[in-house]
Amino acid sequence: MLPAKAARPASLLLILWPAFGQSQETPSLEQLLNTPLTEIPTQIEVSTASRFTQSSAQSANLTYVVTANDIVQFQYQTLAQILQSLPGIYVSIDGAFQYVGVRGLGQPGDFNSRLLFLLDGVRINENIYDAGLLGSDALIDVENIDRVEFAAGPGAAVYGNNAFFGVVNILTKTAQQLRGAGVKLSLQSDGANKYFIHTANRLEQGSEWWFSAGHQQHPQMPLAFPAPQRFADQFEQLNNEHLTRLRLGGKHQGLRFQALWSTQRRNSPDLLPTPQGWLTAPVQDQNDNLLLSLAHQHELRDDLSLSGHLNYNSSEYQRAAPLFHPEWGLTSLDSDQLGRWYSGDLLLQYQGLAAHDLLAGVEFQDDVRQQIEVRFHHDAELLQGYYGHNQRRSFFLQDQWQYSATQSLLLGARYDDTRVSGHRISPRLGWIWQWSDTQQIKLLYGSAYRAANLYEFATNFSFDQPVPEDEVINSAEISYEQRLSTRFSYRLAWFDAGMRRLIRMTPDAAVFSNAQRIQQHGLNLDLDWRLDSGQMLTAAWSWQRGRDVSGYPLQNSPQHLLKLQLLQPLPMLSTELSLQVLALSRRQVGDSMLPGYGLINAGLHFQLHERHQLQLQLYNLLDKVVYDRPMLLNPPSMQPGRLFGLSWSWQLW
Amino acid sequence: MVKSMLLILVCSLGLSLPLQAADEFSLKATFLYRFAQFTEWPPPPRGQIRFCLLGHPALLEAFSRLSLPVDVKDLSSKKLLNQCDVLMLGLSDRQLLAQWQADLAGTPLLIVTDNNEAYRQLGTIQLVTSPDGISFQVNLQRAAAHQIKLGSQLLKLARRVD
Repeated sequence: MLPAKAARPASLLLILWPAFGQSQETPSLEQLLNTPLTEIPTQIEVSTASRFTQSSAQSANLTYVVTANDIVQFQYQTLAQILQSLPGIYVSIDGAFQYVGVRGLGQPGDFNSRLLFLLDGVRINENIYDAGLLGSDALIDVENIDRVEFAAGPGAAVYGNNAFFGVVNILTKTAQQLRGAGVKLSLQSDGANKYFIHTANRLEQGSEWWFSAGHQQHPQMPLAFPAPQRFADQFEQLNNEHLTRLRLGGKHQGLRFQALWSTQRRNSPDLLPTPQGWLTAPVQDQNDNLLLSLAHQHELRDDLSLSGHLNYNSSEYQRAAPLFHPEWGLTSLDSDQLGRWYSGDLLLQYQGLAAHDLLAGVEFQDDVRQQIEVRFHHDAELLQGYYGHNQRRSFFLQDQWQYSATQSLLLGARYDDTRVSGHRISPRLGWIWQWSDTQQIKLLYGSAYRAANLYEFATNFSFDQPVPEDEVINSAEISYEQRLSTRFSYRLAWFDAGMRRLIRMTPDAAVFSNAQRIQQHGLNLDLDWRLDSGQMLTAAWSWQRGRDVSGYPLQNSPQHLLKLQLLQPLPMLSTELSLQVLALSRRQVGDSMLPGYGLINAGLHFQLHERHQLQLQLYNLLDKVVYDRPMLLNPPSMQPGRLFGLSWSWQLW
Repeated sequence: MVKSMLLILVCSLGLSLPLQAADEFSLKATFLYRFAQFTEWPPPPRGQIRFCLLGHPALLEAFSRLSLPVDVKDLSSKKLLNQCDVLMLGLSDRQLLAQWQADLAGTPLLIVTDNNEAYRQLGTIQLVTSPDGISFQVNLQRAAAHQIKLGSQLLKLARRVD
């Protein structure tokens, strides 16, 4: 979304500024903040991999960053689309949920539990499926996102459970980016429309507050599965969605409060056999999420700082699946999956020892409510009920030791003690060598784990199967980065990972079991190229290969991924053209071999006036048919075809 | 509504002008120049505002390329500190920064940096670089310790005020 001031547009203000050093008038601060770079910057700051702010060059993990400008320019509408732009990540869609695969592991039945998702440093994977909600069910509007950092590789040494393939940290906008007030309206050719408003203010002494609200409705969504011909019209009418999100926050001195709430109602068509014949009825889903977070940061001394969070999360998913009962007639089978938890952390960073950055932290999470209940709508009697009460206490230590002018070492380990799956230690070791001003080598070895969640427990319990054991990954990674000029750089990364006891759905039994050892390795090449005019081209090619002990390839595991992103300012039109290519090779899922595909998305971004912006978007420009199969129990689903979108943003003051 | 939007689009095409971008250090130099304009010193500088750069050759080069009306010099010695109104710290080595700490304490200087280490130890403003642009954050307590006052526009536009 375009809080107009936060976007980096082809701004009219900038247009009035002919060139640095040749202008009569020096650009204002506001103009400077909106100025794009013609070079690849030297010191990008990241904060996810090590839980404190550092230069990306000092971080042992490869960290990828998507900024608010990228979101505007490439017109990402969901978190899934943001992640899909990153190397090594691919997204499968079944019309209801968006599933992320990483480094060739996109197991059917996995609701994004192998990535840890943070919102401003606070864990937001819910506690029934450990799911990361990335589609329209997400907790946050993309218009509220300042940047998304993806620290690739095992992150359990500082974050614990779920940081299996990496950590995604969603950093939100604050008063500076949302200041004043603004509205955004978006329309799509398939009937979807969205409204977003925001307002924020910062007082003289630095205190600030912000508020935003978004509402989206999609009265007739494209069908992910083909409808029976004689019910096609009814199926289309029954496939719809409404969602609302609110965000409120404030900051006073070192204290920051934030509340986020989202609700999504969704209907999808179903066909029921009745004594009178076939009947169409909607499956009704409702997703409600809440996060309340209090954060504090305090400098105890010049070399000692303390920070912490206290959080409350709630996540409820309700489904009413229609059925015809001989006694009650039309009714529904209702499932209610409710999770509530408190969490907190306290981090102490000490920099008093020469060349050492020490970080110590404690964390807790109390899953006060974890329940899955199933009953008929017409009967209060419980058909199935699964309950959990997990508690986790953790402690971690990390030292980044700059032992020479060009080399540093990262040592870290975390101890997790959980009520459900016992205790575990996750180590990490990294080495960074700044070979020259333009070349850098990083080595990283780490271990991470994921415990079976309540959904996996419940599924197995209902079939009288044992609960799967924790899955573990040990991963070694090496990367080499070189800046060939201030405008062209490339990065080559290799990973080799061994996974033990991977939890996966058994293809023919629909229960979860631990797989035998899986070996996986892969290569990633990223290019970044800039030109004078603000033109930018990034490209990423990923190759990976994963096999189990029998030599069989993994499910939903494409061997090749290619991503191209081009940003081209159009000199005569105060406009930026964006082009994105997402290509993926074929992959096996169950008994289906899903074909590879190449999608092209294009967008135009117009700065009509200092306060008005207009965006046009063409998603799936060539109208390619793309098949996914994220759930083995379902047949292959179809991603949406070509879509045309239009958005208008107006900064009111 | 779609028709109205298309109409606005068509009408706007004729008004459009080209986009301008900048290299990293020219942009940082211009930020520095603007920061000084939004700063009040206890006695205001008598003539031109004096910019001193410590450990930042690329920025010195950028200043020489730009035709900004400023007095810029490379700070070669601590003795020259009294000839500075704005100090840009390019150092990021913790021990080197510590050597400057005592000399800078309480001086009426606007201290700007573009790295997190120097900001944490000494800086009043940090220029923060992201892949596509530059923003800044401000430490108000440190501004007070250096007896300087930062203008409301600067505080309004800072990404973060500590």
